[in-house]
Amino acid sequence: MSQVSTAEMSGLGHLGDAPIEAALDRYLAQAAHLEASDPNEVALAAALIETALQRHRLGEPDPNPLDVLVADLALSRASRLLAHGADLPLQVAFARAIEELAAAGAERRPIGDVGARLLGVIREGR
Amino acid sequence: MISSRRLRFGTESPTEFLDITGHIQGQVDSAGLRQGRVFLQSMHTTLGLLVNENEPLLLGDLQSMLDRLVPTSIAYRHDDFPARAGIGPDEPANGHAHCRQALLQPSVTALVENGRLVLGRWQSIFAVELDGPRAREIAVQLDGEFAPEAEASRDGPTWIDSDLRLLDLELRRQLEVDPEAVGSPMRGLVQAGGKRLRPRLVLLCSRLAGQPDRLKSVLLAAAIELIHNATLVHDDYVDESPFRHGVPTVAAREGSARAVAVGDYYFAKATRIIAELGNRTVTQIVAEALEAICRAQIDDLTLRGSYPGDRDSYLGVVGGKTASLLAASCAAGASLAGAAPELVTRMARYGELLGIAFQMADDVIDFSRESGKPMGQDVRQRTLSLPLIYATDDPVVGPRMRALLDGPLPESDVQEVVALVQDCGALERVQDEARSLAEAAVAELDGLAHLNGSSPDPTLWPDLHSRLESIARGAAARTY
Repeated sequence: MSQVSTAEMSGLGHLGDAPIEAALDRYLAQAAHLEASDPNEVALAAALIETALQRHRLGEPDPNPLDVLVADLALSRASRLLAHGADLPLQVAFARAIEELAAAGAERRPIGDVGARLLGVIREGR
Repeated sequence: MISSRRLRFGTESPTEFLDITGHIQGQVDSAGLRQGRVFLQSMHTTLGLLVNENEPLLLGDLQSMLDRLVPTSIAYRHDDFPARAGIGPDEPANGHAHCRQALLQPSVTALVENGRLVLGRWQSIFAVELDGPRAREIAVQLDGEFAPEAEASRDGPTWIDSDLRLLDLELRRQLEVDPEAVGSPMRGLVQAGGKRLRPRLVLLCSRLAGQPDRLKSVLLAAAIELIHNATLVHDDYVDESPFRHGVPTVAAREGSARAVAVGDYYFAKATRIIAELGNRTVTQIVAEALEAICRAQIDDLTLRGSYPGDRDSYLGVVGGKTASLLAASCAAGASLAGAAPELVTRMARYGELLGIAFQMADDVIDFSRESGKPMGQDVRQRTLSLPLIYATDDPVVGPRMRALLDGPLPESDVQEVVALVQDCGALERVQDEARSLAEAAVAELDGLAHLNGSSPDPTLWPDLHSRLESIARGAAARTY
């Protein structure tokens, strides 16, 4: 993992490193050409959001309580990374993506491929 | 002069005696009534009023009397639904509750002299729930002579009243446009009550400097209230709490899947609203507070293994869970108004001190007979609580406290823990600490007028100072 991601992983050990690393590599490749935002921070934020929403098991009952809280921490950390390193349209696009996925989960609709949705946010945010 | 209000609260049990004396005195205080009368009227046919002694065994006797005179085990014609016309699908079988209410009173009048309720030494005013748990409402009218400053404030709404009304409209607007699956549960939570302390701080601090943008301030205040409620939705799921503000929690009513999704939705929506304000500093302030809240929630859950913990752990958790968003509300409001960094930092410090004092007062209320809430809820739910920590450290009662808290805590043990905490001086110690923190918060305000080049707007500062000072001292002194 990159230096920025190592520093940002404290307290998130419960999520497991491997899934975040795999997601991070995909997002880094997509974010490399962002002009108005920091690619490292955006990619890590996206990886944290993806992992958090998976841990929350949107639409499924009885997620593990500690998982819920650690995933909340991952989401909040992603929010801080985006507040620091992403331009306004990208911040808004990430938030809207989470809103759509969460609404689908609340309605028990299939939430689809979270990773693909977030990659789309980065791609359109160039 | 007459001032009309509503007292809203939630109940948690089928039958419950809620001591509302403190709430009614609070209404007298806030209205500024000096001499006169307070009229109370239950707005329900299964909620009675009563003036009697708040003594737990007597309350048990009263409960037994109701059980004996109007037992639940016999048939009531009111519960014969096929024989009744025009009843809804959710009609409760509560004939006994209506009959019990006939033994109580639907209204009570209390006299007020020199700003204090005129009550005998052993008299308390109770709202008696007979068909709980429910959201309840009591109409309150205050009639008589009011303090001059209270008369002035009733002549017309102040700017903060007007901003708070805008806030309510904005919250309603935001929740109306959301998908029903998330909007409906959040509307239930937001409308159930809450003190709106965080948005109030945003609105006040956004007047500290420059030219405040009223609409942006209201949007920021609404977003912070949504963040607060989103964290509560997840917190209630993790804590398995059945009620919040007297109504079932989102998790209890709608299930865990819906609760997690609702929390995520409003976390995202609130951060989007804030991002759309276009002020990166404000966005960062709130994002950092969110992270602090989440870290503290994990710590809180982890620390339950070593319940009741120690003072340092307590301050760490409270600093994150409660104080960080209050500090961010102040700092973000000030920053939105273009306040200088030093002023923003001071306001964050004010909010942090206020937040810790607020939580300490909350802990004390859990052991208070006058709060109107069931005592010992923190003990039953093993919630971090400073009076419990101090009582456990006490050389006299500490060993017994530890033995009780290490066990399964049946109701008799909870009552013993409450009594030990009440008797060992822990509550007074925590109250003193809360008051000291509130004074330290006020001291932060006192220094602001002398900041070199970054002082608050001098035309608004006296009014803002007075309101912020009142919030800090009120948070530490509150009894409900």
